[in-house]
Amino acid sequence: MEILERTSDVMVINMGPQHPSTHGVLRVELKTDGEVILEATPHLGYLHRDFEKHCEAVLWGGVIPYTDRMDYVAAMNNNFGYCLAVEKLLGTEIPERASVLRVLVSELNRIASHLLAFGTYGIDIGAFTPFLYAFREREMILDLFEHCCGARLTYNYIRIGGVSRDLPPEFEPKCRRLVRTMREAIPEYNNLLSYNQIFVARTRDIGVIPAELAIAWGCTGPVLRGSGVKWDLRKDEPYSIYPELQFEVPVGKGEVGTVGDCWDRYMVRLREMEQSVDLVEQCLDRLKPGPVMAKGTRSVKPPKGEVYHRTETPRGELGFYIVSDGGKKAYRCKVRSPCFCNLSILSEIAPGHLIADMVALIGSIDIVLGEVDR
Amino acid sequence: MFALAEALKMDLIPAGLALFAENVTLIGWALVALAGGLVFANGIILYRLKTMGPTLPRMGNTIQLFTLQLMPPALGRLLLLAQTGAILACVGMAVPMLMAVPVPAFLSAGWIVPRVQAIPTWIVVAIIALVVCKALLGLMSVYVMASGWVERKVSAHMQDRLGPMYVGGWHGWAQSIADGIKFILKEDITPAAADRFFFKLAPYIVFAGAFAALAALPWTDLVSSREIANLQEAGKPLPPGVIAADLNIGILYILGVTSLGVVGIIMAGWASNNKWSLLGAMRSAAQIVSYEIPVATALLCAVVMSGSLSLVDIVRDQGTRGEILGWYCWPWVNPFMGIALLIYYVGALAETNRAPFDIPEAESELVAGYHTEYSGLRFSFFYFAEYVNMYTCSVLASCCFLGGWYPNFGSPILGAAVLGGKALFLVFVMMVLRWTLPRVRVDQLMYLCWKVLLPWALVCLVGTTVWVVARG
Repeated sequence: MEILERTSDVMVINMGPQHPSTHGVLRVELKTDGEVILEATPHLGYLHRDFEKHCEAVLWGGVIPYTDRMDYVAAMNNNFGYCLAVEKLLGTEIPERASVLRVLVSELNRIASHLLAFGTYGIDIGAFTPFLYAFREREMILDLFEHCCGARLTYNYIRIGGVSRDLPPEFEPKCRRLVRTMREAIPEYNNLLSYNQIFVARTRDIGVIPAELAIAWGCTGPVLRGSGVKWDLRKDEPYSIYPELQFEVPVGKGEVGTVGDCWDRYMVRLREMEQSVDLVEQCLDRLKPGPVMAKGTRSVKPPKGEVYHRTETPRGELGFYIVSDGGKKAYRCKVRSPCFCNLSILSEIAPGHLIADMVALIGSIDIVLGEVDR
Repeated sequence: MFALAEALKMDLIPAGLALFAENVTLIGWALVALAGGLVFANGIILYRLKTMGPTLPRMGNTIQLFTLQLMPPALGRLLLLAQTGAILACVGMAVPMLMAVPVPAFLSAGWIVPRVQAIPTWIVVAIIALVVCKALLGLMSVYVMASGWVERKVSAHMQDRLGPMYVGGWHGWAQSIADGIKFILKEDITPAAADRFFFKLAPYIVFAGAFAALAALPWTDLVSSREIANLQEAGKPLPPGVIAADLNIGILYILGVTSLGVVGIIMAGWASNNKWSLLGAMRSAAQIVSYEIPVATALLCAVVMSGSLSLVDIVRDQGTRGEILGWYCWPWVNPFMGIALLIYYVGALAETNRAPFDIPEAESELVAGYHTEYSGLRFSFFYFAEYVNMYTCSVLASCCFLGGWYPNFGSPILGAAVLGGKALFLVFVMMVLRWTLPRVRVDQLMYLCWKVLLPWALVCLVGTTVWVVARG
């Protein structure tokens, strides 16, 4: 009841569902005193498309295009997570080349997704130019995906038992060119935005999420690592060929302010891009000819049972809890969405900040409403 | 002003009209040529209107055709009617002139001259004022359109893209004209719950505030710095500079009228009945009112240097010190003025709501700030005012710190080009800054104003004063 004691009136502002910085159709109900936020309540569901119920209506393989449409800026990683869960239930052995390809495309998509996060974060803070630089590089990745599967946003590339088709010959040289370009581009981004005085002033000590709080709210991905917790499922609960690959897990260290502020979360993403570029290169080196699809996976009927499998998407821990009754369709498919859990901490962190900080905060959590609402 | 009006009334206009009366036949031929040209243009327009069916042909490069593409049919017909009327008028006037029929009485010099000389002087003054306003408005329209296009191109090239490339042919040069036409044709929406009177009034106030400042901005000088020095030595009065109104409180006037804009901004934000607009207006009020203090203090340094509030005198003082080496911003002229220039420029960015201080219209935070609810022509008034303000601030910076129209080698045209070039360069820097820097937060903005710029501005003012006194 601290609100009532104030002399000035409280203003209720709807931030969204149409607002330039809510990254989709999120509505945050703000109670403000002037520009200071007293209370922030996210209202979800504007993009709810009933994903989980749809899964019960289509064949096991038919769910994959739906997963594309959850986190639509990292569709490969969603495909990957779902297929791994079903394969865990099936007990299928995946061909070596298919596994490498899956990791390759999901790391490429991680770069594309983080590029988008970086670019839109620049816009949120008021710098428009980095966004177009990021899209320049993202365009190259989308071209590569077009080579893989013909699609640029929703791929349906990773299938149960492997991947839908092999790479065309021009993929590898183009991908190596991308690796070179990204290695030059990331320092450019840092020069342009990361260490810009105004940018640092806008993001340091803003939206600090202490490690315990992040864990308590179930935050994962760059949000958790930004708070200094070294937790990455690719390392801590490795799947596919990740155990054989060399990479670091960057965490926030509070370089410019407090550990767990917006700048730390932002920087974790940029550093993860560097690691993903290394991973892409390692995958390219490991590509050997071979089949890209396991036999007998055209039409699957997983045995009766249930499984939970979680993977590390660009936004955090994406978990699929699948129940099969032995039929052609899933009995139940529950998704543990990283964006949903990460977003929930907003109402805890936002009070006391200014409206401008709210924009920085939402941007640093990097939500995709397609996945929050499903 | 009154002397000029009197001269016009007594000598120039009667002489011009007498010339007109003596050359009636020649003018008749000119009218025939004009009518012919209009017939030709009409033919083209008619042809285009006929051929423009549901499948519009790819338009050529001429503006007229391009305009037609955007025009609703009713406007096209209106244009045709007007042109037909003009042709008829031309023919109607030219025929009696060419037939050498007795010149009508109202066209003879003997009839005109005494009647012109009888016009009260204040009416001539008012007409001159209107003409000057119209000229300034036209000049500024061209400048706003050109700089709008340049800003698009600058941002595009900074961002690895091309920007407008199609409209008008060469690098999309007519894009701003197309946008201007679009603004005019768009629906003018007033939100249902808005305070209609103030909602409609606000853009005019913002526009008027920006535009009124132009009255006291100098453009160039008719005499060279050497002549000025000679005249000053001889103790003779100096000829006026090229300026709409050489006020002896020029800087004070400009500071005063430009801050009129903030009233319009608050009015717009409040009357829109939109919370984001209101927040934008509140931010803007706080920002503009605060930043006026360091800006005015920085300008005061130039006033202290020259001993005058008139911009013409300030520039002339720099010219007599040296056309290039005498600019106030050089450390050997006064070590504090360079800092004052920086303070002024940063403050001007904030006063014109340009990035990195564009928080009143911060797109990512406040949707579009105080002009969120405005559309069409009313929106373009805000846009126009922003660019005019940028120009005003740049001219002020050029005049008070960067030597104004010097070096001009005694040529008024060169002087105008030099001053325009300096001002446009500063506008260009504003554009580059906008597309490079992120936006500061509202509290950081206030911190910068009150705790960084203002103390330094005061240091500069005191330093300049001491310097001026110590060096005599």
